[in-house]
Amino acid sequence: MTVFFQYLVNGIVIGGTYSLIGMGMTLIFGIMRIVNFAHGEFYMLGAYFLYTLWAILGLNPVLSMLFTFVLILFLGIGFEQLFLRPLRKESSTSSMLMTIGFLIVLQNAALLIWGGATQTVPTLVDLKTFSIGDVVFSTDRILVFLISLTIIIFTSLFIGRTKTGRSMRATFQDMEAAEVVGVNIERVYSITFGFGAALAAAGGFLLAPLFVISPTMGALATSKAFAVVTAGGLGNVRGAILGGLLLGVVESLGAGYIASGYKDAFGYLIIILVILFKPEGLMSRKRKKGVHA
Amino acid sequence: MKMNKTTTKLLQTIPVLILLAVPVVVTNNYVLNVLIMAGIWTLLASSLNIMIGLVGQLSMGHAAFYGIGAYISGLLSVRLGIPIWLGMPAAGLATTFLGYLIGKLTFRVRGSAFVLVTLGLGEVMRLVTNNWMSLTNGPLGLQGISPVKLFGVNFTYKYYYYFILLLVLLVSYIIWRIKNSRFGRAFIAMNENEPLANAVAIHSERFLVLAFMISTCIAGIAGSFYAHYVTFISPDLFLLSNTVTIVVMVIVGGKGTVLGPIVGAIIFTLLPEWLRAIDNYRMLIYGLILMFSILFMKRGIVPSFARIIKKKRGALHEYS
Repeated sequence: MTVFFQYLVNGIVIGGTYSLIGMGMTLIFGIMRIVNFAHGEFYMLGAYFLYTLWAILGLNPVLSMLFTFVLILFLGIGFEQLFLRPLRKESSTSSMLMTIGFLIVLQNAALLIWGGATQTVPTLVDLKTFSIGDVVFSTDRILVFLISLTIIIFTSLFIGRTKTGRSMRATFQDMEAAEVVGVNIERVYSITFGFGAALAAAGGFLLAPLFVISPTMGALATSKAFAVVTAGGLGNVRGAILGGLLLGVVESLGAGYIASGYKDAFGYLIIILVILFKPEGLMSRKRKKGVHA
Repeated sequence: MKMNKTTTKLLQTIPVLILLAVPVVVTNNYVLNVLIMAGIWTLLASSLNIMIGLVGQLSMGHAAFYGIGAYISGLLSVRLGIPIWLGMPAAGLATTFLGYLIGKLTFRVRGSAFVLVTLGLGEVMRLVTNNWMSLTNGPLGLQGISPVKLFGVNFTYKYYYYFILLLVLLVSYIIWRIKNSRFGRAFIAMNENEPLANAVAIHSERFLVLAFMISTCIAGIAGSFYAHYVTFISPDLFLLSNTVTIVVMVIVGGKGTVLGPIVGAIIFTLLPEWLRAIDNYRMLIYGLILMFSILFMKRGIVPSFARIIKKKRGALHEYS
């Protein structure tokens, strides 16, 4: 039983970061109606920016994280305005292909800049462990979870309470009506994409000290974001938060009890099962979906 | 300038004649190898074109069907000693069936769900082939697949070339027929206005599944050919970068046209050969080409050229 709780705790810690990545993707999908294939690449850049700013340049870790968040926010906004905005009148397939192109560019640019070898990022705090019962907690993982939680709450408040958040929700519900009442749709799209990308980057810089980082790490993150978003319902923010935790726990238990080699396959299993049996997501009671805060 | 039908037809056979004559002129095995690989990519790009170009569904798991075809054919050969002449139909049938299953299950929801499921399939297959050591030999790959043999004659590069050329011509013909058949018109109708298509009794789900089955069948056959040609396969076949390469070929060449994916496949097989010196930048360049061709050449190379030619003289619409 102790082992079970240990897996559960580990799963929830990792799951928190999956929630972040998933929220980013679900926001982009919910509002812009496109699947962002470059999502994992923003996650990868989050990890590498932290590595560069903190581990190499020696900046304060908290400042490094803030910088990274803002940099990726602007990268996302820039990409949206330059490459997605001209495709607004095309089918969504064109936009999705565009994000695929960006995926390849970012991944290979990272490969050229930082090299293909894996890197390690030092832990954010002095590594100490303590235990409650027989379940072991380590300070770095708890910190990761706390920061994830903070960002999740911050995002919910942003969507729920601010004017921009309100415009985002309005756009989600009915783009044309929102435009009629004076919401600047183009601005909402840009901010949504940038913010979604920055959330993925947050997942990246939080997980970086726990795992090794490499330029190809994004593909796996994208697949996890897909799983989270599918499980939570495309466009459903609260669903993405729970979906992330669910995926973290399922992976952790699956790797522990079934086979660790298939750890990364559980996400796809979730996708396939959910699409087959509950295509509107696990959270939905009725068919209608909405961005909830 | 106007041409009559027979001259047009004769003109159309010229490229085929040139292709047939290639091994007579070219004896360099390296060149033949590149051409054969271009043929395999052509099969893949043409078959994906059925989905992207004709029915407008983005399948991100095309490499999965290619890989599954390769593994079925390869395993039959290595484990049971079955030659390609049975392995290839088996691979084609298996991928057709898989296409049927996945199409049946996912086209209820369409669009992004289809993209996600097909993408997931590739990753799951890569994990399975990597981990199922006893069957697939895992990441080490499957070695010693029998080369192609017919009537006791071992295939040389020349024969492989004719074999793949035959497949390419066959597939191109099939796609051309589909485009100009009731199916093709149904596909186009669906792509343009699905509710209206449904209203005139085009059962869109059934057509989508059918299109997907044809598409996956060809990919499986291409995989089988690859397995017996290279005689070694590994889980790398399932890499997303393979699917991306195929997608790039279709988009840049010109989706929805018969010739487009062929042109795309040839360009993107030759390009890496020329870019070998700057191999590190290859994928970066691919990505940029993809992004900018979506922005500035939305229809792809072949339709863009066809338009220019069409403006100069009336005919040639058969190509686009």
